[in-house]
Amino acid sequence: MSARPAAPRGSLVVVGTGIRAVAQVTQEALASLRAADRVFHCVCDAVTEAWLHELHPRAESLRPLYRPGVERGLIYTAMAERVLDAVRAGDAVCLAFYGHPGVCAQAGHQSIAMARAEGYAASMLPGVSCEDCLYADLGVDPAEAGCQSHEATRFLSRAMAFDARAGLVLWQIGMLGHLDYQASYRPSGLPALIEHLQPAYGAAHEVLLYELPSYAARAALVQRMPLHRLAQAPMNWAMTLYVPPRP
Amino acid sequence: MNATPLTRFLLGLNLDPRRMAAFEADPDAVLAAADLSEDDRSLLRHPEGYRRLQARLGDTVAVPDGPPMPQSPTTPRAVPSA
Repeated sequence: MSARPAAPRGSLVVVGTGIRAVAQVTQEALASLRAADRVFHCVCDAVTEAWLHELHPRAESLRPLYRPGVERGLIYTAMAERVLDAVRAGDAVCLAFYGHPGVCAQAGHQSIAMARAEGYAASMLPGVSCEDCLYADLGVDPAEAGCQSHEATRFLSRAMAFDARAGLVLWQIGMLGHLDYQASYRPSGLPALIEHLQPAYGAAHEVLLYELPSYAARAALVQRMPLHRLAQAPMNWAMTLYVPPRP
Repeated sequence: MNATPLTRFLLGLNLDPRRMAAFEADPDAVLAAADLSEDDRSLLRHPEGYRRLQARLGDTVAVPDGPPMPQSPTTPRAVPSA
């Protein structure tokens, strides 16, 4: 009887660091970061980044792989390849993303799929996403009226059907219309989005732009406005649009 | 990025709710006792502090197009829609 071939030595755990810098790192994510031979990360604030580099002397940022004008999917593939190189070298690798590592973070899923396909142990640990924070800060219980959750650009480009009796969360509203990476986004397509939503909700229906600061304050930044004024609101990519259910 | 007095100060606020509460109630008192440069203190006192901090620290979220967001209050605050 032939012996079972030994599993490759490298491994991968993908973790999230939450939205509020370091404060939302879970205990199991912290344990994985500490236990890793190598840490790669893609976080969006300097406080978390500095903390990761203090925690782990071999931490490496994947942010330099972002190139303006390059489709984000290609950037995520480059990130996955960079991480897999370390796994193939036999290291226990921890890959950290801000928020939840499996939400709007294709590189995490892709890295795990590639690692598993090559026979390496790979898993993802949940993190605190901006949608989790939104429920807490806006007092929304998705179990009450229901909640639909979409990436804004895909929601619009696919003209997704929705139910106005349930809440609607549109991620990355400040990047609407962009599938490439840019240093600064100006959303395009807001008038088309309003046109898509207005028949179901009405022009005066109140919508909310939500953002949780990573540091320096506890409270969320919330802008409320009628749907028809959404295109005039200042935005950045960290904002999420919440459309409450129609009464 | 290496830790700086500013990132350490912000991390300390995030990890200590009492310290954050004290900062929001009386920023001058907390800042006076902090190991920060006068530039950093000034930034943290500024009414548009969060956006300016992001720019100073080189965070990915750039200052948005259009008017600045309000300084975050201690409870969520609506921005007038008009």
